Amino acid sequence: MKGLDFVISEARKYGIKLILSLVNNYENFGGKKQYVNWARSHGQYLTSDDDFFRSPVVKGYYMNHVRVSTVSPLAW
Amino acid sequence: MKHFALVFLLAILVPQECFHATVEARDGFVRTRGIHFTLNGYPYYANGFNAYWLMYTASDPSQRFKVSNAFREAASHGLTVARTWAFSDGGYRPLQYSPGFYNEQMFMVKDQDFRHFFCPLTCHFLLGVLCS
Repeated sequence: MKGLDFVISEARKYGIKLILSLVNNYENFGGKKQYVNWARSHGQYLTSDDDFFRSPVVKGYYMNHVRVSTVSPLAW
Repeated sequence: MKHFALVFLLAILVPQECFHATVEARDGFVRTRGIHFTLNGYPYYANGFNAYWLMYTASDPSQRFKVSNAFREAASHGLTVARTWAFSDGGYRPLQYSPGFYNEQMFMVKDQDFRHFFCPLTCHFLLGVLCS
């Protein structure tokens, strides 16, 4: 069993509901800044961490992350 | 094309979620009814806490007792909700180490049960706007 699976399983065991955040507004654990830097390393010219909300490439990365996290167990 | 995809997504998600709200789904997920939260059809009042570190800590099996202890102590004090990170993008021991590529030590979906966990969270933003 893996990290997040264990967390979810234990939460259920103790009757605790979870709110799962899928990205950070700040830099810790990646967040907007990491997404923007990924796009930069793939040739995108971006000037601000807030390009997270503007760049089609970045938005594509994030939408894919949401998709994987929500509806696509088969992707694993 | 993107707009079409969004409309298509809404067409699939929204009527389904509206239907759930009408029949008061009893699936153990917290939902919204008007300006209230409900659980299995009954009003739900949250008493929660933040714990960003749960997934990161649980990815090391020798540290998992800390996660269990946190939930046990929280429950013993009457807490019922935890907000935690289901992300870790790049950096040390990441969940997503590159766009679309994931470290299975952090997270591995094993059954269809799991997707039901997330779906209400995302759908309820739509629900609040379009169904109430």
